[in-house]
Amino acid sequence: MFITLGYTCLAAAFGVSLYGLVIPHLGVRRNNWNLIRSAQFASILNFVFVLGAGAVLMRAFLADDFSVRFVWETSSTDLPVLYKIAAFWGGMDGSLLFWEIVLAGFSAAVAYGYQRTNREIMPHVISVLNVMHLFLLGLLLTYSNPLAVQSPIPAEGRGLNPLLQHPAMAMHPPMLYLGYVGFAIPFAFAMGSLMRGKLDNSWVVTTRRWVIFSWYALAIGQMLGGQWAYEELGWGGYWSWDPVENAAIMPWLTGTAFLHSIILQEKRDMMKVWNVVLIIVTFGLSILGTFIVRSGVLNSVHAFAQSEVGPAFLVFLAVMMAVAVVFLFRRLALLESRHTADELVSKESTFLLNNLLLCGIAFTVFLGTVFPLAAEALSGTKLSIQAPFFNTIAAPLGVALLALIGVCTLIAWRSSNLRFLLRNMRVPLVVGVLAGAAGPLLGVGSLGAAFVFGVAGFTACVLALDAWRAVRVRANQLGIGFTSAFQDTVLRNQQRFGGIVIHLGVVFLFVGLAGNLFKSEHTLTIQPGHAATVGGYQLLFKGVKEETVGNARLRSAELEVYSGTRLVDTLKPGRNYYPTQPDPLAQVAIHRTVLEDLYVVLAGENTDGSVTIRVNLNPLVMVAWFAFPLFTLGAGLAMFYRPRRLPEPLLSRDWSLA
Amino acid sequence: MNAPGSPVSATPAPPARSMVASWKFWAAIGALVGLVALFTFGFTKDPKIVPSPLVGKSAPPFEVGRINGPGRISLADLKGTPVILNFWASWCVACRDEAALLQAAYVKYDQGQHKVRVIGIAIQDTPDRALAFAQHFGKTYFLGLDDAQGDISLNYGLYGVPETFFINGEGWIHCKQIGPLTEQRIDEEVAKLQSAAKGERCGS
Amino acid sequence: MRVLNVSRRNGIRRLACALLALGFALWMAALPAAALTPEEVEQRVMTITDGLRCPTCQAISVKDSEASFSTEIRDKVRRMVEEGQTDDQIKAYFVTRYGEWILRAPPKRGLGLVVWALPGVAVAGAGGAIAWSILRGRRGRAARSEAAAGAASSALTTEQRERIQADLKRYEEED
Repeated sequence: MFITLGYTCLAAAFGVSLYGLVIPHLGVRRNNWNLIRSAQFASILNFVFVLGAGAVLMRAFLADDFSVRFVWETSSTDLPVLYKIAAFWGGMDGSLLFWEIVLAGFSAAVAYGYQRTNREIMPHVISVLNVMHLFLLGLLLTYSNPLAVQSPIPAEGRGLNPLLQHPAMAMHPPMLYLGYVGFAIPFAFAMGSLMRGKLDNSWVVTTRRWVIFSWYALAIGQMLGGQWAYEELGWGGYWSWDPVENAAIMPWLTGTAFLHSIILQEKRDMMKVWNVVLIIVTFGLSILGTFIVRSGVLNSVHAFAQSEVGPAFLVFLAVMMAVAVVFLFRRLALLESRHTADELVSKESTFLLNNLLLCGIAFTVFLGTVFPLAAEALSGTKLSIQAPFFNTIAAPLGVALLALIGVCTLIAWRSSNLRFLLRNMRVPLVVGVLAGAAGPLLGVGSLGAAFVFGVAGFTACVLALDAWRAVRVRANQLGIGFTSAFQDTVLRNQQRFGGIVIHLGVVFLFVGLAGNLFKSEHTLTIQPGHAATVGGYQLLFKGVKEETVGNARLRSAELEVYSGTRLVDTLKPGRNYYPTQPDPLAQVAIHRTVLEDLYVVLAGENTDGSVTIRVNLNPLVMVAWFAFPLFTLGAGLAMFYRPRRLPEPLLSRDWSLA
Repeated sequence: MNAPGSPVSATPAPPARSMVASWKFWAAIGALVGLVALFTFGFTKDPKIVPSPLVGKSAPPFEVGRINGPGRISLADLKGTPVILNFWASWCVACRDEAALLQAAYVKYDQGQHKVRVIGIAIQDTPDRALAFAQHFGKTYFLGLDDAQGDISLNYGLYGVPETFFINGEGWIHCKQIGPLTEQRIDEEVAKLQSAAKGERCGS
Repeated sequence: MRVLNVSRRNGIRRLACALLALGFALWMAALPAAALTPEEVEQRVMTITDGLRCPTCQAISVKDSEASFSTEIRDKVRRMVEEGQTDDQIKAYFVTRYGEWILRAPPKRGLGLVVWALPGVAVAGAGGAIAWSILRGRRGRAARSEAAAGAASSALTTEQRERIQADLKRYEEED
């Protein structure tokens, strides 16, 4: 009964979306604002219906209702509650419903929140968003119905793949979807502006928070995925440039470029055409990413199984992009920017360089992901493009970006005196050189890593000085102490300090990534009661234990970890034998310190009682994860501020304290 | 009713002529079409299948002892006769169905007249387990066992089981089947082998 | 009395060092290749297998994979390194049997070269185009302000000319 109700909700949502697609255009044509208001209400109604369908599915999961085929496919009675909830988006159908719920929620927020502002483009924005709703709901009602029932009703479900039963993996898809869908909002606003012919900067200003939010969600989603791969898969890394990983990083990179270039449009009325192009590309890459994951066209370990949903997404992508391109070129004449970059040494040109580098990395990733298929189409040969290609090309571009963060902060708008700039760079350069030299002095064998440390030191110093100067100026202005001025300055310049904190997070991330340049891997065989030395640790093998954990049989090797004579940890790397899986799944054991991770995987048990273990010493992994709280703090600062309404002439000037 | 002060009707679009004349527009559309065509092509391919470069070349030599009987055999011994060289393992689930088909092919082509030789090589296995599998699933033709280092399987570019090579009488690999065989596939390829045609992936 | 002046003496010293170094290098090259230590063997195995794609799991390298074929490939590579084969010979062995697909990055020739070169070329090209357009805009503005300044009467002093230039520049910036 509930299930039919849920399905009816989806059908009703489809009808409401159809209304919301057509009526705004009717309202525009007839100059009837009431029609448009009804379409706004329809968006809210759509969200209610879709949420209802979602609630029905969630109830089915929590009640172990295996009459619903999707629940049977992805859940089981012995699954912990967290993973029953996560199973909702753990399969194709449910994840599409999740997409639609998020999109409906965002559309309702847009319809409700911007009722009075952006009047001219709202009808078109709502209409564009409803196109997306119709596509998703169409799929949900036909090929990909999460509420499809089956009979006879099985007693037990197939269960969630044990690999996916990890807290990071539970949150990874929702965060990614929030990011992907988040970019639909600025895209819809850009489309609305193009359709309406209202091509000022309002769409950029209105959607800035959505862009920051989407950026943040994609960043966190990818970090969660990396954390899961690191802790669960056991190959010792957290990013492997797999096509599905690339599918997520591409829109994130162009989205980062977009985040920066809209600042140029707001502050200097530049890049108007480029920003429209960039949001179209970003949104297109979001859809492409979803397509790659669901279609099975590219060889990936992450992808969902091949299904008919793939071609549907390809058609949707083609149509959305074609319509966007047509509208862009029709309005091209109206999109002229008032200014361009004046000087080679100016903040504007560093922003342009930022966009160039980010889009360059995105292009590299795109090329490497799609080229094997293109080569096969053109010449019939199969070739592989994997981590070595991406690392070699993306790494220098990334380090250049890291340096650019520092340089850009020091340069003024319009133009900068080169001598003045170099004078400001003196202290950060010294810090950078010291940071770079610290590497080899502390035993780091890699020159590349030392170089990254140097650049990171330089940029971190620039950011810290920038923040410190801003606070000091305020303190002098008000005649109060530094610490009291700190809160005041931050709260008055939340966007700027949000940016500083996020950039600091990027510095930490790069330092952590540089650890990959001097990690070491060892394969050891140890007899019971004996010890082996790896790095600064001694691993004493006590013996193999077997225990039953849930529905799995876990065989683990107990290792006592000593640093000198002090026992620092007990690690239990092992293998989980599940009844549903032919091969055992690795249980990784990690001893973490800020400077390095001791990462141990049980490779095999030998007939003479010894075990073969793989031990990696992964430096600075914790430093990379530290970007997580920094991104959260920075994004929070940048998003949740109260904009002060300044009069127009004052708005167009740059009041930054640099 | 119109809300006061805000026009709702759209501004008219500028003439579309300039859009169609712009090369950038067509470049963008062209790139989009290319991308869609590429992925449509991708739907026709299975990304997990790796075609073998050994097809059309002379088969790598091998030599194995028989595990279900006495004797040894090498590729040189088989020169002059087409060979169905099948790689299998006792732990391979897909090899079970295939076993009966290969046994039938042995009876049809190999036993007695030796029109086509059927040879099976077990990989990453032990003699006991391989023999038990063979007895259980009724494989009586020549069965060998690859050494512990996998010399033969690496030499043949194996990456999974079952994989089957159809080798013609002159020692060239006619085609390679990835995954389990079907009766139809065996008959087709044997017919082609005897006509000395050179294929690529079995079935093409 | 000096036989040779300082710079000539230093020049001869440098030449002598260079000749010694060359002789040493030739002598080293002529030595039979020393046997590799186990650590060196492992290092080479790791480097080579990091460049090979695991044929079964296909997502990671032979170095990182626990699959049975990857273990066999690693052992085979180890044996080939101990036999004294070069990295290229070992990679060629696998490419002959598995195809170029087994290399995790395409070789830098033919189609592969296009892939390796394209990102750098694209970024450099786009960067150059942006820089050129900025410089062209700057030259255009400089030419305009020159022309504006030149149109003033020649009775102006240099100082007045400079002031006009500065004022014109400021006027344009406040645009």
